[in-house]
Amino acid sequence: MLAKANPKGAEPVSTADDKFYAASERQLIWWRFRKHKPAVIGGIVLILLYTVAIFCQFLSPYGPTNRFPDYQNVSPTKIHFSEGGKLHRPFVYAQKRELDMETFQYVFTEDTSKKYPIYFFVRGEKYKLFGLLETDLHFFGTGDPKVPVFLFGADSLGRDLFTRTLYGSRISLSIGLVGVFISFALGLFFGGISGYYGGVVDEVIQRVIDFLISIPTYPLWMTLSAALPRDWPVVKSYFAITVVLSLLGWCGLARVVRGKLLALREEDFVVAARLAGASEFRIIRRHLLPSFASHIVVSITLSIPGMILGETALSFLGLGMQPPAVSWGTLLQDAQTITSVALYPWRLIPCIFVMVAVLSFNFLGDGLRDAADPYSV
Amino acid sequence: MGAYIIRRLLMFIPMLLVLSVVSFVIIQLPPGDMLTTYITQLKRSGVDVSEAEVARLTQMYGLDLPLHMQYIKWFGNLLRGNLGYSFMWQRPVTEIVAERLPLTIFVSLLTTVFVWAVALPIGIYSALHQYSVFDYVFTFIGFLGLSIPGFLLALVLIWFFYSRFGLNMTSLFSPEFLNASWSLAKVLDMMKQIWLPMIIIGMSGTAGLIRTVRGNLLDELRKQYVVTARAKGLPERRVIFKYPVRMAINPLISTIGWTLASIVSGEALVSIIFNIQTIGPVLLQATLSQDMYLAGSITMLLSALTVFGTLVSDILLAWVDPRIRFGRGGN
Amino acid sequence: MTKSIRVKLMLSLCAILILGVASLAFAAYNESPVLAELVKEGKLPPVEERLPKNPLVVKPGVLAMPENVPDFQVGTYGGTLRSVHHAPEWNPDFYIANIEPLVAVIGEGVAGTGVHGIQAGVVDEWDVSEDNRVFTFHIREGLKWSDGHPVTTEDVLFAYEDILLNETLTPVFPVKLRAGYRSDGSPMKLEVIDDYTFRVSFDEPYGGFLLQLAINQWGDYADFLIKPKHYLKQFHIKYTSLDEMRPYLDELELDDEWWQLFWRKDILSNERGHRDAIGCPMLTAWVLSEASTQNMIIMERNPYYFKVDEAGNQLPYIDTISSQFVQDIEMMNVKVSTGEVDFMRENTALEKMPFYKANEQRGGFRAYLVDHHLDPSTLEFNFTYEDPVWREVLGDARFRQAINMGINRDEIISSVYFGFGGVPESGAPYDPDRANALLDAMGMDKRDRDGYRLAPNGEPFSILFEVGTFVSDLVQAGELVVENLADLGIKAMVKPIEIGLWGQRIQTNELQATIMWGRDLGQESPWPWDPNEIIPLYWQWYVTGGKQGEEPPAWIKKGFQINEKIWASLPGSDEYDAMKAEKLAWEQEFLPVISLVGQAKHPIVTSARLRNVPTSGRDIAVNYAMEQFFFVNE
Repeated sequence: MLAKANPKGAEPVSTADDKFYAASERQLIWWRFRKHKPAVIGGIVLILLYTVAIFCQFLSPYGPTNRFPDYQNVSPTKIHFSEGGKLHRPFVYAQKRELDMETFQYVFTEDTSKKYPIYFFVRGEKYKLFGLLETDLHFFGTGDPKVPVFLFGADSLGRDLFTRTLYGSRISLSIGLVGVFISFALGLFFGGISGYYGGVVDEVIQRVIDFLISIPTYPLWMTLSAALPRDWPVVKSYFAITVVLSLLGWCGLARVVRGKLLALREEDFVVAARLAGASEFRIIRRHLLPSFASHIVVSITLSIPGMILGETALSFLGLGMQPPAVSWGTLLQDAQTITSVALYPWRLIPCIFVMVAVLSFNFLGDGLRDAADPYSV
Repeated sequence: MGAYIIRRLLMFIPMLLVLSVVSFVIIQLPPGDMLTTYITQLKRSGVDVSEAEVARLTQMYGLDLPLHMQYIKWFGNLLRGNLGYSFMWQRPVTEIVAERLPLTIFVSLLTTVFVWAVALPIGIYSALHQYSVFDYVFTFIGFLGLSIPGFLLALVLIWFFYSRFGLNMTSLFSPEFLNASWSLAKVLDMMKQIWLPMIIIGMSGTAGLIRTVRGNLLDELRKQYVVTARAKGLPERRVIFKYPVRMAINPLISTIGWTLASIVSGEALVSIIFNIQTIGPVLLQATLSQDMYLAGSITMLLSALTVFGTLVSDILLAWVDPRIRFGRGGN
Repeated sequence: MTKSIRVKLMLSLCAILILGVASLAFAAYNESPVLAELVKEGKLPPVEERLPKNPLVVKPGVLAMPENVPDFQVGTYGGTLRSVHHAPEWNPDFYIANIEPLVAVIGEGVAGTGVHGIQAGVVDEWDVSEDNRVFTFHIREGLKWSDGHPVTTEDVLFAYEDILLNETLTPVFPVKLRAGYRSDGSPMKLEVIDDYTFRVSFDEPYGGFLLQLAINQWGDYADFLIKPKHYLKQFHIKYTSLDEMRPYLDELELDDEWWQLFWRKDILSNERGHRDAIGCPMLTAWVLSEASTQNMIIMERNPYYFKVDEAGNQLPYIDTISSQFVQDIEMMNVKVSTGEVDFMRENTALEKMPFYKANEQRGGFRAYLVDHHLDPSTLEFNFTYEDPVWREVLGDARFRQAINMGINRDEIISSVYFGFGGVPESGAPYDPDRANALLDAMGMDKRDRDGYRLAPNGEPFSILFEVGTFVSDLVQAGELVVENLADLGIKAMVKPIEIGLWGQRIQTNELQATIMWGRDLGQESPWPWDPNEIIPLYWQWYVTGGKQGEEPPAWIKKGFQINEKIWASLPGSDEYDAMKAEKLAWEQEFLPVISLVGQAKHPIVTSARLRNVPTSGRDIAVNYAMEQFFFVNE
């Protein structure tokens, strides 16, 4: 059992042993982490997702509110690679739509008279990269504003779902970060004093946590988000919702921190430090914090997905992000109607992004936990 | 031990008081009130509430009283077992809750049993065969369960079953049992439909529990006493099930207390879609429409239940685990 | 039925011989087999005794315009009409289907294009004095409550003296029953002539009173003037002591608040699906059954219903209407697709039309479009919002005209309303150039760094549309409007807010602008929108006679005057039509609201086995005709 978890793995025993015993804690964690393949993959996927989120303006062919009135509810654009059996540069056709009075659906037909090749680095909608650099360069597109290419189809107002999904990732992937950071600070603080001081302080904080956990989630969410001034612009409300979510999220972490501290407090090395006359601050900073830092990192990675899902659930209730803001939650709000599920299934694509992000965070967290666990050596 | 229980029980009383205030504030805090919401919602159907009606409703619900008086009135009634009147339903809260309580408890129990029945064996297996193929597969499935928004999955599955197989999952009962009173036949009828919502409601819980059991058991297995037991040549089965598994499940006892409340919160969205008449959707609706007595009373009930549940779990834990008992007693 | 009443009935029959003859045209009436069975068992009197002397005869043109039901036929009895609802014990489709006004409107209740006149309902005769102040009504003789008790002017007197004039029960006298439909108008007076005839008088002309009774805000007899005295007096302190009421009071956890008990038992037209209504006598086609639960509204046919078809069959044809409680509008639509809904109007949505169509076959229903009774989306600006810049800009008619011209209605109609809709009566053709010219001319020609127009005094200007989350198309249309306005250089934002909050912001005059459905073509409401949404302070000034609020500008005062004249005149009269034309001209000139879409469409879902359902005309009129629906077996 224990041998299986040995990070030394296939390394030659003698030299590896030296290397192993001389390695810093950080290196040890890294070695163990590398072995956890799903976690590594999760990590890579996340790096990709965040890169996409950062460069979404460049990567998406259009702006998030660009409308193509003749392309409402169009399915993902068919990209052709060959013509008459011959390989061709990828191209699309313009589409014509007609309302079928029998089915009340728009029927789109390709106009094959003219090909519109897909180019890379085309000029299109203007945007400011990072809010500074004004440019109109997009990663790909047809270059013709009349003939769009919709990788994920279009929504009911004729907006590109691919573009909106990328833009949505900006909000959805960062709401988790900001929120978790706040919960983390709160949880660390309250868990810390609760665990370290114990006694009355501990008792009070524990009861407060009991109490916060005992309040049913939805009413609390609703109340807090409904109490926000509604004339705030969308971005401001978004930050406020983040805070709302995180104000509730700290209890779990505080419990973990407290538990860890309670256990560590009695450990020999802490007692030794105390006897040696180290100050409280030094004990906390030098001895206690490093001992459970890994656990905190893990807790954080595991709670980000909760935040992402929380945002979608709030949007479901019509309380979270609202259109015209673009987030995965608001995109799912569009998708959760029976019409979307039955007739426009491509609207569910943002859901796949949510799942991939949440899965990746979970695997990453799982891998980190295994890697950070000193007992697993 | 006795002193500990008494102390915790005494703490329960001020806690309830605070909870009642918070429940009340939660309902009152958002701008707008139930009367405005009610009028606006009726207006949506073209019904205009006359000023005579408004005056009547204001008086009937004591909305003309100052806020603290409204609270005192509500809490006073609460103590007498009168949970107040629901604005949207136009009937006593007690009645609404009572009508939905059996199904709510049933769904919660069923989901809990499902979660434990699935998660325990898988968690134990995963811990014993860490990094095996099946461990990865189960981990993946478990995380998948965590990552899909339940309400969306519910909608997609309902549509999938209907459009592919003609199965109608949109209500818990067949039409002939819809309005019937409870009977064995009705329960059997329900069992044909309830499995899908049960899986979806239990999905994220199962995933979480698998991870917890796996993690706890892994920790236990590394402890000295396990090594000793193995060294003594105890059969592997006995080594694992005699103590480590029991110890791994122990911390889970502490979560039992929250189960009901958390399921009620968690099932609300899924229940709405599967049309399961439990308390969750009612609470959701009541909160959205600021139906203060209904939302306040249910919130109060659920949180009181959770606090009480935590208390019971703690006592249970202390009783089950001598280390905690003596540790606490020593303090 | 007591002997004396029967004698009275006979006497009055002689008095109105003509009507008597009309009813004698049917030698025998027919009834549903369900009721015939009860008659045989002796549990119910024969149908001839249950019907009034002259029942309302339903033929083409009575419940629906002939052209809207081209294949109208005499139906057959039986069946259960299934529906779904998502608010507790409240099904809006059943609500409208069960409306029984004192007098009905030929037009909406009957479907058509506006109010042309008034026809009989619960009362069979009525008379309006020359000056539109005195109204005399004659209740159908022999009309009975759903428990068999006769309906007489006793019930009217009870409603007036013991309810309306009782300050405990009616703290505020309803404005609809005040002269001129103004809250400072003096309350109506009642005079009982005989068992069936009563007179309502006002001290000012109030021809629109008929409209109030017939259609305005969908009310019916139960909201106004006829209450089942024999039932309700058990809960009234004047007739029953507190001790006798005690069991009922205890049941509701009440102490001595008998009026609260009374309010619960006095069922208004919109409360008929609520279980409090069980046992309350009705005049409606269907009456709530004791079998109803929180999951199901079940309404059984009223054996004493006063309408018959041309062949003498007592209506309705359908025995039972039932509605299942689901917890979400989306799930109502899923239930439609699975064939569990035989009729739905209120909760269908245009955007779901392709979905209905794709499932028609499998679900055994039909979905088709009829005319929407509302303008589905209207821009509303609060003219009394507390901001001088806002008031200056909005108060300038040129600004409103510019917006009216700057909205690309074609795109809104094709994106949000599937191409079904047209330019509303007060709309203007899309002309951004003229719109820009108007804005420049009114002094909004200076722009900020981002290219947005500044107010004439150089200060920044923006519009915040706060939209109640009633239906999705309001926000969608709003998003397009915001883009259109941005093209004109006007900075605007749309923000969906919860409806409770929306309502409160209106109350406190904090709402700057909103998008809401507009003119209800059927109701002829005083304003085609809620004055509290666009002119709260001016409206306050108006209803308090200038004591509170702010004095409105001349054009708004003119609107008030036109409105008063409309309410004073008799619906369908030349004066009435002239005032309506004047109101339209006023609207077109001053644009108090800006309607985005006119002539919109709304889907109706009906079972493929249902017949006599209007297939054209106005949507809500379809509900009004429910008692003529019947099922065929296929």
